[in-house]
Amino acid sequence: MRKRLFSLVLISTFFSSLLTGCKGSTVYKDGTYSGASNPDDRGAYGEATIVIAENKISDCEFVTWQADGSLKDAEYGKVGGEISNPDFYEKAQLAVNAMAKYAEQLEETQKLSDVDAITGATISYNQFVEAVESALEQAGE
Amino acid sequence: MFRKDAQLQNKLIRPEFGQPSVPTADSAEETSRMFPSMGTIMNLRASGGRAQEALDAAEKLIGTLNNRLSRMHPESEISRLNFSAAGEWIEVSDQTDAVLRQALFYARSTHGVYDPTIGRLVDLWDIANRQRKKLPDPFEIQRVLLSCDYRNLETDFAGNYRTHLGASLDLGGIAKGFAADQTAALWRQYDVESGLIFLGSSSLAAIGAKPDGSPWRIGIKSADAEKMTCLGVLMLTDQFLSTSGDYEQFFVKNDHRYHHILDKKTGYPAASDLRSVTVVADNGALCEAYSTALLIMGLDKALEFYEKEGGFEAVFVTSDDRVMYTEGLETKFEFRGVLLGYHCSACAGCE
Repeated sequence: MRKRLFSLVLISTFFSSLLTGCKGSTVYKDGTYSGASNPDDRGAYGEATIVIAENKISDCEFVTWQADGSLKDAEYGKVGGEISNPDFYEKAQLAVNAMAKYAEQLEETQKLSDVDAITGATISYNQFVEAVESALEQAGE
Repeated sequence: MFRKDAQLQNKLIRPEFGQPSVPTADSAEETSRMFPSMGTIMNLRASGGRAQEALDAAEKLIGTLNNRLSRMHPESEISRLNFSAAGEWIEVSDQTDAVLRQALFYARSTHGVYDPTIGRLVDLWDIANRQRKKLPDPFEIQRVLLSCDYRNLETDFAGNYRTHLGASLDLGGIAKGFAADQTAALWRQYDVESGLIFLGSSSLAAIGAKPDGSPWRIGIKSADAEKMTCLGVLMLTDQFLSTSGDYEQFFVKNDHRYHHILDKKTGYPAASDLRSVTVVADNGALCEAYSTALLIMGLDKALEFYEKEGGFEAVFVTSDDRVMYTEGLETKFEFRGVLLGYHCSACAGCE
């Protein structure tokens, strides 16, 4: 018997419903909390700062520190302060922008994904999850 | 140094806000560890049995595999083979023998679409990727392609190997899957009841079910490199998974995107109608080798291969934004999003 294959049409907007179905129960104390991830293979680590108000995340910021102590920001991807390789710089800045989007997404959805792992996820996203979880540990009652 | 505080990791269920407080069934016994190896980050979670010892043993095992299989490690057995004199037999460990045998098996079964001897081609593109100033010389590509043939790797079936025509091994398309297999087997000795072996960002083993008895939920990232969103979730128990996607590593030159999955037929990044392929099976090495091979094949040939070979299930994401999954995943794949169509009659391989 021939095997069946199911086909689904994917449109760009369907991702808005991804982060659903979380279980969870913890009550969080109002305040500002920070958490850090483990370092990656180059020594860079993520740091998340979340603000809890009325058991909700009212603000979230996520940054990544490089092993030399510098921040991955608008300078990330430059060499000696110059954009010596535009492609590399563009890619580096995409990563920086993605970090901001992770934080925005968390503020919007109020929850991390309900999955246990994401295949194809970047190391920086995994660090984001780790850092936020660490911050939430402190906020939990 | 990279070990996590277990107290911070005893969370299997993600937090949600603005909900009433209800006790959860989190296992207090789960322990986890994250460490760098194989050029990426390893993330392990285990509970039940002697979980802590299992993590120690796994870290040691993966470190040993990295030292033996990495072509970037000058003392590795793979490097010894790559730098051996033409025709010189090199004796390898049982572990390296096992992964090379599997690599040759999958190379044969895919007719060389997956090929562990593409090391020189990978080098050529790696240099291009780092320099970005110019693409590899087409003549140089044609020259190194002569070496890229799994039949240039010979074994005496007694743990000795030799290469021909300057073949250079690169086990990047199988090593993490093999490591997942080995780690899963190792954990059985430690009676680990539940765990997740996540090697890098694309190879994974789900050990048992989650401590609460439900399947592990593995998100498949969308093919958009800039977005961290999932196009679906696979629910796995005691299975392996590997994803290959053209969005993982790439560079742009003259408005053309050059990704890292190389087609040895052309010597260039695969010009496929697939953006990503996720393979689920009972063998991690198979998952990794086949996910790469199926992406290179393209949808039609990948489906033919699925029909013919069997032994695995897959989720395909095409370049025109369709998601398809094979029959065996019907109850295991949860598509997320706005569902515009659900059909199979138009697809090759459908009833």
